[in-house]
Amino acid sequence: MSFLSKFVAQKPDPSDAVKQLHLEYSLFMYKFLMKKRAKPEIAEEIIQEVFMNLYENFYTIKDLGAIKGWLITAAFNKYKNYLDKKSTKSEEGITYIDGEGDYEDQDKSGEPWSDEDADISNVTDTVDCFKKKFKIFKKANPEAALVIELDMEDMSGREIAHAISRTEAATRTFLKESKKKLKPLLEECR
Amino acid sequence: MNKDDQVLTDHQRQTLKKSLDRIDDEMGINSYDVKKQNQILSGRLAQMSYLYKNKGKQQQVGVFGAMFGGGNTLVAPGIALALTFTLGIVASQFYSAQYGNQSSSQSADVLRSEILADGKPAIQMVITVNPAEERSKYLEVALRSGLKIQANQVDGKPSMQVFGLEASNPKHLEFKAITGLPPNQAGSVIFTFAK
Repeated sequence: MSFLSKFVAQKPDPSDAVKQLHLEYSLFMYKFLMKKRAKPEIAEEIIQEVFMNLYENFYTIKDLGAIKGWLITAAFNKYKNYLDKKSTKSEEGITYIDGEGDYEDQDKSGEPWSDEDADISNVTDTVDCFKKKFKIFKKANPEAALVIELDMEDMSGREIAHAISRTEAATRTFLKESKKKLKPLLEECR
Repeated sequence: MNKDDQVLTDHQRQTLKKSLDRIDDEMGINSYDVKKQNQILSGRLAQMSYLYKNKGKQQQVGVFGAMFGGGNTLVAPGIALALTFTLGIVASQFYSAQYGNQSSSQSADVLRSEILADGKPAIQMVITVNPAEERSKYLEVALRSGLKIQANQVDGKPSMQVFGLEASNPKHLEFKAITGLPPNQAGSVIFTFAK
């Protein structure tokens, strides 16, 4: 008896649960893949793969309470593998047919960047000022910016910890320090 | 976690949230169509679910063919290869249950092609009573040999392409022997199965 037939014999088909989780969290995953400068079609395909993997491994996931963290970690890992593979292919002189992959002008923060972003003299309102300040912050501190963005999505501490592969305690400290770093920049927006 | 926020004021949090939303808008994140993507996922899960539940050989082959059939235009090529491989692993488990570890016997006539020198894939036509079943045997052996595969349909006939055959890789010898390829065959080969 293969592992699949054992799976079928003992557990109900989790496809409805997986589809429901997709409805709930796929936009969130897409958002963070886009923030990492994935192309839309690549982000969509990665998300599909993550949920198919979730379906296959549904009953082996120990902490379904932190599923949001699991999903975002899986998406990030898949995207990283994809970029690694793409990079290897490039080294071998093999190019992908459609030139898929991250954008060539990617900066470390993973978001579009221009000199305009650094110029806060012509901000229209506080929100605009915060936006520009956050982009500056993110360019210098990508991981700190990521953890703040995850926090702003109302993720639990456990979920964020899962997503950035740290312990909950370490995540709490890191988040607090990150906010402390960001705060002076935001306070410049008067 | 944000409820314990003692660093940013409520006003700063709210404004920051709005600014992040604005960044999302600029990045085109709202163009993501959750419903459409959910429908695509539903289709894929239905196929996987079918694979899980049905053990009739014909049905398995049919679904496996459908899974790869026609080429999915929504799948970018690089990811498609990875997806093919992932699904292939599932299929491998699946076929192992059916066939055990025995080698498939070759019961089809093979119209052999020459090894092409210009780097294009060689094409091999396989005449058999049951094309779908024959392809499933080829798939099984290809997966067991660690080869990358892409199953498809050409003019309504089952076909499959095998990538990365190496002239001197002993792991590929079983596949070559069963499929009637010369032992030094290298590169990519397309098999088309017909009655």
